[in-house]
Amino acid sequence: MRLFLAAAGLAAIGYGAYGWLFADGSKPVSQLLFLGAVLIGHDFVVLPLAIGAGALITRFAPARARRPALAALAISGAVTLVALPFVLGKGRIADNPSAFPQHYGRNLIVILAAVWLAAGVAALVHKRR
Amino acid sequence: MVRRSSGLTARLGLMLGAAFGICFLTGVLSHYIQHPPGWFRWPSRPVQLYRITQGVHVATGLACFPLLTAKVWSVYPKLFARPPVRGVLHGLERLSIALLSGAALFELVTGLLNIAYWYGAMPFGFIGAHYWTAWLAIGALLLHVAVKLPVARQPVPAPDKAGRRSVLVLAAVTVGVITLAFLGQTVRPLRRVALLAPRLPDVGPQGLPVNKTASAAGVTRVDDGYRLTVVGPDARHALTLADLDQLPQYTVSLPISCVEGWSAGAEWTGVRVADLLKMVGGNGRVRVDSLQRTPGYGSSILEPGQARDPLTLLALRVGGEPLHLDHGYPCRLIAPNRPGALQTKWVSGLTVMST
Repeated sequence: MRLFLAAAGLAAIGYGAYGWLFADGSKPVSQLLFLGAVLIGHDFVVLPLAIGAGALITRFAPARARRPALAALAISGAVTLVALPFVLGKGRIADNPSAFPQHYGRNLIVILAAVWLAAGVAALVHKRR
Repeated sequence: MVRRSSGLTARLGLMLGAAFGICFLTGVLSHYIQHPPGWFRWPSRPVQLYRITQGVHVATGLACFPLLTAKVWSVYPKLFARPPVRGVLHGLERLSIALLSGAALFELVTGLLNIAYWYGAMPFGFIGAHYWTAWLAIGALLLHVAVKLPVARQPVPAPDKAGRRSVLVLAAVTVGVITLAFLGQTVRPLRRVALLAPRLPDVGPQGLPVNKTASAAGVTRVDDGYRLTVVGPDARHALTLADLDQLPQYTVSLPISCVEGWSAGAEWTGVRVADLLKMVGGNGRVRVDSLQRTPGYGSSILEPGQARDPLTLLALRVGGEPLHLDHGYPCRLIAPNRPGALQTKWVSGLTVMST
């Protein structure tokens, strides 16, 4: 089973590597730089920032608010990341109003507000219990 | 309280592996439909199939963002383990994990940039890079499962189970929030809460989104000189818009299903492609040409079966009105179970191909 998985995996990697190197229009150097950039950006920028913010919450938030605040932090971070390209709007096309028809910055704030409101309610409910 | 454990990592890995498997299968399928290898056949039924597979592809990809970050977080201290490499085998394993995370992030980020049209951030062609890197990611994933299977099968100690549960619940809630924020782009009842959806299924000319506008296609106006040429082995016809209006009209309810994961259903009225093909003979594949002047999806191929499907129309109207120029006036192709990019607009000709 494990041998079969490993062999299939290596074969797929080989096929992908072939495409990276030899497919029409492939730009292996640019693609490798991009891959490295997203990997470093995720592992050494996004995650340390999230872990650092989590540590601050754990250190300074009152005990009953800790868990809801950590949860709200994680949700906020993930939602903000996937919303970012739409908030920045670099892909907007002037003559096509049906593409990206919403106010993404405002809507992101609405979602974040709802998440932190829910976290606040959770902390208060926890206090009463 | 929240804590890292191998049991948590294994469970997150299972969720992420399943999600990547779904993304890989639906993605390769979509790629083959649009760039078919010789052996590949795509049926015209079920009508909504591509709408579903591609909607699932994009929704699952978006759901992978928090899962991937949680997975890497769950093993984060190992990234800084000392010594960094404990021999050849360990070095190879770390290399394969770097390939897995790198290729996985590459897929998620390029996919997101593509649905946001942010091509300036990608100094390479999206389609080829996203396709070939998918093979790297799935290959590295299979290899990773092969290496880690014994660890994943170990029983989980009781204190770890409680910590695992809170992280998994949090991951599920995060996936839920992201999914709700986007899914309304293809599931119409969720449209009101789809606060981040790049398209809304009812926003656009005639209540329908547009991907490529007429001006982006270099089509400025279509005048009385318009002729639809229909060419086959037995005959060649040049039809005016009035000629098309004289032919039997049919109304079908079919979706525009975009490769970017949005979709919208509509009522299309027009001429059956099969009726036009009967006028010129032949039973092969059909090339659909367009007035479009800019490169990219300016023509498409209909497989023999799909070309003669009773639901496949050259639509003249949508929702009872003549097509808006951005929807392909004077006529557009609309066929069942077909990616939107291949529903050619501003159709100028149908040619029955010899092979």
